[in-house]
Amino acid sequence: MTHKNRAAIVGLGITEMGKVYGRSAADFAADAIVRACRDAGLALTDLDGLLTNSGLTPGPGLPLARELGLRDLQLLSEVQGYGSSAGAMVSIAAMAVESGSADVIACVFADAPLKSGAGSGAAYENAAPRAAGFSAMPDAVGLYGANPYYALAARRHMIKYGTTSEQLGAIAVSTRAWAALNPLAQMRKPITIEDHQASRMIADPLRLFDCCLVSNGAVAVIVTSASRAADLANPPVHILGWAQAHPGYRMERGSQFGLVTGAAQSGPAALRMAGVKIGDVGAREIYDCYTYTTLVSLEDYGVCAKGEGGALAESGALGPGGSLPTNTGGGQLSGYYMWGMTPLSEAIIQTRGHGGERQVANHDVVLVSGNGGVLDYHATLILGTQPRS
Amino acid sequence: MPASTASTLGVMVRDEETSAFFDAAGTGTLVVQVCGDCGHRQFPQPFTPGTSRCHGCASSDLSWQPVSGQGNLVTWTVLQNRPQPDGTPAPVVIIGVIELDEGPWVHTQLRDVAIHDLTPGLRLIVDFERPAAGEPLPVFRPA
Repeated sequence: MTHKNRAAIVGLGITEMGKVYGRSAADFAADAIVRACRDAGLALTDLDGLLTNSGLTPGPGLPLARELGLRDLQLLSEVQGYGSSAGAMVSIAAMAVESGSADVIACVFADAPLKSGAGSGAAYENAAPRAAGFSAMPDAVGLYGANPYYALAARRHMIKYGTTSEQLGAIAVSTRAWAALNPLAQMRKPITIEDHQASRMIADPLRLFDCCLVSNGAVAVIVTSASRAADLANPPVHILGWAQAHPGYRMERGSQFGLVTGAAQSGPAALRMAGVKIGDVGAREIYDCYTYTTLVSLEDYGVCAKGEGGALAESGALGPGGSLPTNTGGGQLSGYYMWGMTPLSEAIIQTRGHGGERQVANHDVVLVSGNGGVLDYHATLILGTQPRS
Repeated sequence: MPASTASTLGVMVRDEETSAFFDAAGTGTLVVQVCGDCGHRQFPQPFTPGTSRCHGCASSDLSWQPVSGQGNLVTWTVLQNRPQPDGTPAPVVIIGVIELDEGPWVHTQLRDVAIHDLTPGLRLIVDFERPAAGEPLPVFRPA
């Protein structure tokens, strides 16, 4: 890269989160952007770019620009890569800054699937429209929502590598231990492996405590140039590397479904761009829609060898006080579920050094993993306290 | 093909692109798509509802051809859904991924196998069930 304008994240806006009813996704989105601008020390009128990402409910979309009174935008687009969207938005914003096509860009995710009186499972199961023809086949055989697909993936990992439910439980426990230290987290009461093993079976082998939360709310981040970032309100979080990988698993003999994820490609590519190695990463913020997703992603990033994610989880290295702090805000399992904005927001907090009780000592380089679909879409970001050299 | 009144299968409605599949299913035959250009075989996949292109070479020269209906269990999940509002327990459903001997994977329900007998590589053979309404659907049972 020869551009002088490196990009940095300078603003973070997190709305009221969780079982917050009566507000639309668009309303949450506007709120998050206002908060992110305030956090950065910028005015809304400083924005010349806006990227939006909708969850399950009708999202903010392009009209959000009008809602916020944004004028003369040079970048405006709706992005959809499911769990990889946050990484995609930040990388598009970074490329816009580095190319000079926009200068101050807000990226926002918002969703409001939870309804008062209905369970979080219902929020996701009822989202898919029913149709004629083969698109109705998954529903017809009982494959509703994401849970059974991730169960099929997790089982495959267990079969091949001997991964156990208790090892998945170790991830639930360490992630909850981090959440206990995070005032923003929804589920903060510590749990044990026994609690995990006693939790209701959702889709064997996945238990309730293997599954993420569902949350209403929004998160926005502001991306601008490193030079402009130096004068703003919070320590800049430099965007060192980014990459996407979309494996396109064919469901047939030889498929790697469940065994290897897109992190195996997007991880090394993003680290290479950043000029760092996986061993330089001080905190790992991993998209954890399920405990299994954390485990398999850590393997694919090379944090441990393929097949040894279970042993890594059991070792205690991932939790508070461990040698490999992972999902330090409680992740999606115990923190809040804002798709890829969950790991991204915690990575920003850690890189700034604003993690309070849960702050990791080494936060020079932080890894952010985004996973979408059923391991179909992947994005990695590498963030740091210093600009790319 | 017994008509089931309490099927755990949902209702499938045929459309133009699925009529040949369900016609074959109605005679107890499992068919997959075979590419006339590269020979790739595929079964319609979750999240890939279209059946107009070969996933190997993007050719549109696809035809439905019978397969043996036999394969191996790759992975599975067991679903115990919440009880009905009146307290009736929901039936336990086992969903497997079956690797057909010809290569494609099929995601569907398993029959006549105990949970503790589920094991990778389990030999399975196709059967068809017709829910109370709709088209017949493939399920698999131990061969």
